[in-house]
Amino acid sequence: MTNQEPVPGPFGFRASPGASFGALLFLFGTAATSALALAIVVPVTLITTIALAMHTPRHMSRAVGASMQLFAAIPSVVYGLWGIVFLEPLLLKYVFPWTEATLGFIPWFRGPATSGSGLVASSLVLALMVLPITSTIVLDSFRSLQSRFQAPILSLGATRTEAGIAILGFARRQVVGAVFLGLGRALGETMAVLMTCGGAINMMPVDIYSPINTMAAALAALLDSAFIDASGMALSALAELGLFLMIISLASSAAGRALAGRIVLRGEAR
Amino acid sequence: MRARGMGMRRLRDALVGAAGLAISALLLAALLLVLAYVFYGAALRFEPEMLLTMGNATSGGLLNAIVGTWLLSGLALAISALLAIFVAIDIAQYAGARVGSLLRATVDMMAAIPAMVYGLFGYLVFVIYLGMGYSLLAGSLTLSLMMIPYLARSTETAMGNVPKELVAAAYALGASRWQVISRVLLRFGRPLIISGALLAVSIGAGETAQLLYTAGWNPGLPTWFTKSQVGYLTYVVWAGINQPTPYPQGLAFVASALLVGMIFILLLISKWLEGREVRRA
Repeated sequence: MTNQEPVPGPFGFRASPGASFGALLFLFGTAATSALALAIVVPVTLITTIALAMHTPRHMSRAVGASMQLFAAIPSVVYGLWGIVFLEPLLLKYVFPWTEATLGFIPWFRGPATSGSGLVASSLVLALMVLPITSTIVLDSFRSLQSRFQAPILSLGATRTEAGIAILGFARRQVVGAVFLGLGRALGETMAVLMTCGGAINMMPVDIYSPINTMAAALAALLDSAFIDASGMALSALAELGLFLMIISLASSAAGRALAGRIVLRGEAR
Repeated sequence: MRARGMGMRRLRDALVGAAGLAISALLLAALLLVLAYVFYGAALRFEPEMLLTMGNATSGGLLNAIVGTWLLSGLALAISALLAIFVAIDIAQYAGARVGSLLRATVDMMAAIPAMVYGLFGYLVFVIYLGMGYSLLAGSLTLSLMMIPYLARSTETAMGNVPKELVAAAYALGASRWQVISRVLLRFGRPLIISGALLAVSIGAGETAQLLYTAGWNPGLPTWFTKSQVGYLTYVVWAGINQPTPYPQGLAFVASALLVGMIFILLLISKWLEGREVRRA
């Protein structure tokens, strides 16, 4: 964006000549990071719920549940800091060379990776931040059904795992609701993603090692420079991005709340 | 249940149990690693003047940021408490069922709006339109928007927890609705309301995205509510860790550890108050 004299247009000012405000990269980044994070979160939530509720002594699983709440309280920037100083070097030095060597026949994995930041780091950090939310809700709703259904199902000869799967089936509304609430959180997450995504602008990712950007992170990163666009179009473009981001995360959270019941979660709105 | 050998099913049961526990342990380990890494990193890089002097986020100390964080979340608490308690009273006591549930849904949804959207809103409305500039008031107002749902919810729960007999007795003695609210409901609900307030402050203290474009940064302390920028700890984390030199990175680690410590203490006090109340009720 250049700092040119504003050109009058029919509705106020016209964008600077050659200005381009495409949001595809940010839409893609938000969708990809959230999808990958959920792909980790959903199976992990389900299997840990069964293990914690059915295979673990109660006081132990209570302790795990309580510590989950503490982890949901860690600020987003702290996860971002951890992503930068711990996760990214780990990915670049140990994980990416391995994926290049073993999965390199697929073009998206060929590399070479030059940085730890990008889709993988952002999604992993997001998964870590969303997991306390989903597992708390799913474990709670599992517990509320457990006392009623566990003994009858076990007495039919089911193993503990089979009983757990059956009870999760009864709680599927809450499970889906928890996933939507988690999605709402992942879509709107700003700082941790901003710090680990690599901050791509004007460039679609070519492989899993490329820098990316999300709507929320782009808002935080680009607002500063949008102020100097004299036509005000950069600010308008970002405001529209913000509006769209708000609509999709509200929709996701509304769906989650409708399914999982009335919940105001700590940290949901970051 | 599908017909399958008992041995097969037992094996699957054992496998799922073991895998689930292993993943739970791994998850806890990963989260503990985040904490351990932050505190260990902070301990390695700590210098006393970081707490005792003011600084510029990448040099000097953190005193102005610590004070700024408390000022911002404290003022935000005051603003949101005022609004949230009235909203909760209205939902619980005055509004009909339909209006009440609409209000409740609206307040709940305020918690689901992304932080950066609040940040953008705060910038456009408070900083620009209302002319506050980057300031304590603009930052606190933006923060308070997202604190309201937590406070409204805890206030409502607190008032719902007060024994019905007590309310009935107050009405029977001829108390007006406002007297019942102020002398019975709010009074007996106080511990839970305070617990909600501590939770809200712990959330506000950890926020960044709302403040980037509403609070700005100040190497000293703000001189007034408006037009005077204010520094805060989460900004130091973000700005410091992106610097190439060790000292600002140390500041980022120490600021992180301070934040996490403060937030955990607030949260534990809040949980303790809540637990004590629930046991009593």
